[in-house]
Amino acid sequence: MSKRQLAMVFDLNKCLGCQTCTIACKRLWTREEGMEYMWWATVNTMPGRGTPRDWEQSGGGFRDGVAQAGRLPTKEDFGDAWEFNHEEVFFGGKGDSAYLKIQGQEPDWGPNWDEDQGAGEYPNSYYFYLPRICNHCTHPACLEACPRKAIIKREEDGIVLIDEDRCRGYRFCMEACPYKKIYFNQVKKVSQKCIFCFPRVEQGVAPACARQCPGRVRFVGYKDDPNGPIWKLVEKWKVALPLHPEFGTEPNVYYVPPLSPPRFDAAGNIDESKPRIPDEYLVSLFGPKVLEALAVLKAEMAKTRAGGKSELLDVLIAYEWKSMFGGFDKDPASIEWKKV
Amino acid sequence: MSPSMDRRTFLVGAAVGTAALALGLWRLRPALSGGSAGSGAVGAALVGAVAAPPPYGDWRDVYRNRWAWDKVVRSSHWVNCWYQAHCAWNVYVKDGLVWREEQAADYPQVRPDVPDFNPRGCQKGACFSERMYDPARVKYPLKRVGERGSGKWQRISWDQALDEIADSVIDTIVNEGTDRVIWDLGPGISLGPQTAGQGRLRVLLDSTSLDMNTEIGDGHRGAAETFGKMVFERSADDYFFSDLILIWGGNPVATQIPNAHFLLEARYHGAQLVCIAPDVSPSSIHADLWVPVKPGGDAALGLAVAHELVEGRLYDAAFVREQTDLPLLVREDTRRFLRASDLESGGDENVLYLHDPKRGVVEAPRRHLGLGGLEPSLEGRFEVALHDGKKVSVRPVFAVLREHLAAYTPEAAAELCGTPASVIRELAKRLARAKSAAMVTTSNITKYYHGNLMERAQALVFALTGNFGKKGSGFVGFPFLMHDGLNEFVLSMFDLRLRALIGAASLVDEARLKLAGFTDEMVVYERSRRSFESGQEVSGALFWYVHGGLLEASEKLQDWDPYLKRPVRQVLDESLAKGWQYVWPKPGNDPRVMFSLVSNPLRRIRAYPLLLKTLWPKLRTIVTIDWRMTSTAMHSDYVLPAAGWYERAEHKWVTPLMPFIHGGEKATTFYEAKSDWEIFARLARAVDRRAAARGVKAFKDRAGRDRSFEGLYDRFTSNGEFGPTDDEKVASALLQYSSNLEGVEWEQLKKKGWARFTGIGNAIASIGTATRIKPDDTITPFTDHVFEKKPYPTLSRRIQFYLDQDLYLELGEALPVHKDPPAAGGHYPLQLTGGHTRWSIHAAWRDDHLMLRQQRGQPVMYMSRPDADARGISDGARVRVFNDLASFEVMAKLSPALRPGQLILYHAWENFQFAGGKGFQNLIPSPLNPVELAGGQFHLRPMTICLQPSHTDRDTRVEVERA
Amino acid sequence: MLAPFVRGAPVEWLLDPAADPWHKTRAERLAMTGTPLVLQPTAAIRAAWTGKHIGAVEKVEIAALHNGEVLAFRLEWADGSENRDPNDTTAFSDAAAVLFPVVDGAPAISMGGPKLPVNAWYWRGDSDAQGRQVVAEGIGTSRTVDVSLVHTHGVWKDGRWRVVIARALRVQSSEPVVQLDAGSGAHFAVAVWEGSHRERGGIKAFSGAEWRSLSLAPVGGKA
Repeated sequence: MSKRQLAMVFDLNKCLGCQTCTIACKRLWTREEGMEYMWWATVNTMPGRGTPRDWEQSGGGFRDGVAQAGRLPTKEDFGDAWEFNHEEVFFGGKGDSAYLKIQGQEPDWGPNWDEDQGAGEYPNSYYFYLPRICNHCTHPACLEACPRKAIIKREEDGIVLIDEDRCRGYRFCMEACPYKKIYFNQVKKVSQKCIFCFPRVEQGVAPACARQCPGRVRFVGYKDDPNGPIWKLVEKWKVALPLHPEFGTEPNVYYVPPLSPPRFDAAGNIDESKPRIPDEYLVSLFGPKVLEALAVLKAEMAKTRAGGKSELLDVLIAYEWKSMFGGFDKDPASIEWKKV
Repeated sequence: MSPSMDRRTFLVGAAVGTAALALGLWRLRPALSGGSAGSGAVGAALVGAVAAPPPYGDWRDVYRNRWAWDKVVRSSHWVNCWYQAHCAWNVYVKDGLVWREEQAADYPQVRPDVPDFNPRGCQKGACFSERMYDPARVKYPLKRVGERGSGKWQRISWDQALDEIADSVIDTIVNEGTDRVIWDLGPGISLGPQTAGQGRLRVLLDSTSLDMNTEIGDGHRGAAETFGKMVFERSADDYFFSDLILIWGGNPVATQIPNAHFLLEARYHGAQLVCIAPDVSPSSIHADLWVPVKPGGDAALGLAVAHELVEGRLYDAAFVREQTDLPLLVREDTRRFLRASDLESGGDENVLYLHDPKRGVVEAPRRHLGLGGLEPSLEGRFEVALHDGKKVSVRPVFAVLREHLAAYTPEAAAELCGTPASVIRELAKRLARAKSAAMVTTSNITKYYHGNLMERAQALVFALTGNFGKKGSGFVGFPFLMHDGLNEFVLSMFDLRLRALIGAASLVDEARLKLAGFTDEMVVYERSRRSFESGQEVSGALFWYVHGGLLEASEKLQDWDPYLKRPVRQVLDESLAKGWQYVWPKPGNDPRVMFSLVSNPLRRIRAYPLLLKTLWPKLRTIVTIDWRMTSTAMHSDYVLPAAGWYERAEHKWVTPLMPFIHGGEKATTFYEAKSDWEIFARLARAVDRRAAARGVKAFKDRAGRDRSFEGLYDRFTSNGEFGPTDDEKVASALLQYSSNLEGVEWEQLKKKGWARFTGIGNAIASIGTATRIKPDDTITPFTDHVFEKKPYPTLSRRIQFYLDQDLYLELGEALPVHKDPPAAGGHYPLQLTGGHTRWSIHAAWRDDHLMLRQQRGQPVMYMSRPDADARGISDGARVRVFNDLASFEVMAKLSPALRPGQLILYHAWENFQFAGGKGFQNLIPSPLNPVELAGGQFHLRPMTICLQPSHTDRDTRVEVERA
Repeated sequence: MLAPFVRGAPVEWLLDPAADPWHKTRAERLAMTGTPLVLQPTAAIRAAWTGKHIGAVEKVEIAALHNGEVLAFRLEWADGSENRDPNDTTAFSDAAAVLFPVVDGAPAISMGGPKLPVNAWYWRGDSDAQGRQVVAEGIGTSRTVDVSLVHTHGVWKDGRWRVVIARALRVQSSEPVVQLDAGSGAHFAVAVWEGSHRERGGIKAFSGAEWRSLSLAPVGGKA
């Protein structure tokens, strides 16, 4: 156990599926050779097969504290870094006979392939967006799987990091991570993953995916800070839950579960007898406590609708954007770097 | 959208580095990001002044050093993001190259009880640093060496390119007329320094500038018909005062990414979010109630809600009496308003009447909305004697409306719009209960052939419930907010004596209008209408129909539109003959030179193959000025590389949703790309020089007056004050000339990145919001009308639901009515609709590889499962889509979220992303709706950005089969 | 096994497994065995490999020689697939290593133990020319101590790997690595990883719990 633990809460009722987090991370960390196909931060439409494809059925993690065998996803499961023929189309002198295409074999999967598809039957179809990063687990399956002790969990903040000097690219961590948030760098021959933007965090700046999120979805902070948003949402109000708690790794990314508009009965009338997103589906993702979390959320929303106040909703609204970051709210542009 | 030439333009018209980037930079991408991990000492080891990351100690320092930079520059993405415009970005520069960007996110909180605007941005902006170095960029001036569209290019010098273009312009304007030179302005128009040069050159050469707003399909005709204007919008934080928010016809969760949090947070604050849409859209999933509706069924839905409000007496009678035309009297014999000209010989056509129980039939107030003790009747039938002695029966519009709404019981409407009757009743109940109901801005419904009817029905619902002017309330038209200094800057190139003359004439004219009861707003609109009359501004939509050959696709319209009584061509001829609408050059005078300025008509315009067939052969010279290769650039004769967004000093218009002007500095250079201002300055100089070299002295403008080529460049630069590289001086001058950015200086703006507008200003693009901007409050439109009782700029000076112009009566559209969408493209079973995409602003990111990787790497068309199953189509299958016009191939994406019968192809894919270059727009006929050819009546005359014919696409019918 | 002395043979030459001296050097056949599941260092690995065969390569032919300064091993084994650069997240390189006890009593089976270091000279197909020198003091402790002193080269042809692994007899190092002398004896073991069988780390074929003996011919002996 680390002395303190940094965590995030993602409010799914504010997530726009815009992938700004995905791109912010991409542009900051995974642009080097060997990292082209990586997306340390992803957002998927749920229900769906996700990134990497079918990750929820990939094993790993723990059952009753016992490590489980896991599957190694293929690059196609993650989605490859497709190349295109812009030069040929624009300057190749081929007129309409050339058009912009993925070069090589046409893919059948990508990191956001099933965007906005979801499940159910019209008009009772349903979906929501599920952003994911490394969960920086309290009981990290990756760390425990590594035979080289190349994965560390920092004492001071609980960030889980792969030591790229020690890593030999064996990918036992990839197999073991039940969330499948570890990638393999073929050029450097090491495994890589979300680093919780530790260089930013060390300077008091929130991770890029959180600070750049236009939907203001991502709360950041120490779990034990009673003045910070994480403690309020996770411990006090209990509206934020870990994803797939049954994976046994004790994730430190929590989710405010999604509400959904009412469904319709066969005659087309509003049917409030059951929710549009089936309870059992949400329970399968967030565990049985999800129903209590939704009930709390709805009760608080009923209060504000009646003109009342809600401390919980004030936190989620984040009148002051900076309040989302538990003190990690320094403006990165204010940092001046000196060459040595 | 053309720059709003509101300030005296019509009168003037009548009177007058790259060394570091020598190689394909995109190939160097990996090298841009700070060395490769594991290589020991990484690049320049950098130490932070705050808490220094050490030089390479272990692998952790690789990451610490990667996140370090040389300098930070404020900038933004100077593209027309419209609802999403704009966001302040910090551009991080490393080794002279843009390394990455991150939102500045330092907007102040406007009020402590509403959320702040941080950290505005989106995924597209977050990767422009990658896009700007990708292979779509134009690096050098290019000249076509093969057939148009062959993709065969020769790199030429700027001097050669501009001299050849100047010669073509000179030949055209001297031999055939100034109106033959066409400016097509696209979504890259900033109305700041970027546009200032084009504005000056256009005025100096008297060329034809297309207003492309209605052509895009953003004309919001229904709003303009009802309110006399289409621009009025709140600030996004004003939703915090709403208790009911209708997302009706839009998808802000996907298309207003930086604004959407306000809606979702307003929901937490107690507002109910209702989304009315055919599909379970990304916005529907976040709603408290999703109301399904057939695509194109919104008028029926709105009218049924109106039916419930009227029959249940749930309407706000005081509001209706004071602010709307519903008490005004309509003659039963002619179905026209009762006018002063009916009652007295030589009476005013524009003076209308109402009935007061105590005072009888009296003139409706025109200079002020206050009723002054009148309590106009909403019901009843009254007899009036005309000046010829004839007695006619008149009724308030409300009574006519009530009778009209009888056809829209929820049960009847459910048949038309597909929304269950019980859901319609629920919606009406919630609207009636709401203290402050707001609509979310959208430009979807306006892209239907009958979009105006739908918008009128929406407006009716909000007017009946009195939801205007109160904080957090209101139907909204179109958001637009700009500084009002552009036209002053353009005209400041003329000498003082001339300007004094212009100014005096203008003042006299304005005084006359004000005496006649015109508000400031109406005066601005009147100026614009004159510039349409004189050809200073031209409807892009009509230009493409007439000169572009687009009307050919409307030939079968009578077969598609059952309500049509005669060929639309006949209506067009009547409209042009009667001066209802105008087109320049005059029909028969072929356009010869076309400049597409960060515009892309071959991508944008529905049925674009007709342009290639009809317009292209008429054009001697086609010039595209853009930072990237586009479908249009590929069919141009010259492609001139414009500076990208981080490569120039700029400031740009926004919308009231985000009432901060945005500006920024130049962060870097790219090959031979030049700022637009510099391109126009150099083009002006080339025209000046070439005319002198060839001994060509003068040309005639479209009014027949002689103009001289001599001194053209001096005038353009204000005698050298604004030289080709003086972008920053231009940026500064534009602010100086503006009335609605008090105290805002360029030197601060470029460093800070934003400044809050101090008023809506006088620009035609902004004034319609009709309210104040306070530093510490949200913005609510229409307070001028609702609280200060300033009249609306309509015929009736009120919110007007009854339109008695000839075409409206002919087509049965005097009141908003439901009409089934026409079978545009032929009688096929599926309706192909579209919408703004999450993944691009127009086409600017459509071929960006990061964005494509977050999709399927190619265009997709969403299809419902039942429709796909019936045709044996599986997810990811390649399908052929066809109708009477054409066909194209695309990947099918099946989704249970889609309404059966509807297909959605989100917009702005480039034609070169489809097999054979056959883009999806090729089968969208965009039939010309004859009602849009109306004019003549006070507020139905064309003006900037509205009340011109428009282009539409949502009614397109197709069939789909496996390819 | 004897490592004969070859006068004046440059290392570059020895690294070619088809080079002349190797034809003249007698190879020994080693029977390989999979590392036991229970000895795998982490529960996740044990879970993943339960019920799966470990140790795809069953025999290796090994020869050794030295030039007075450098000791080279030549390993040869049958392998139907050449696995070098992993072209997928699920692909692994073929690899081989020669292991030495650094102190007496260091166990081979468990990669040494506390204060009982072992030293491996390691080749992997994805970084053919860059051998690694590894030190371990028990399961899960192996660490790369340098990537410059061990020279390697492998050639895959006709369904067989032929891999040379070489290092100076004595090297400057602050790490516990083996120091050898011509004319004296040493112990060694061999491990081979079959990439297509996803073998890596402790999942490998091994020459057994017992160290093998090696005697280095004295300098000046006949080639």
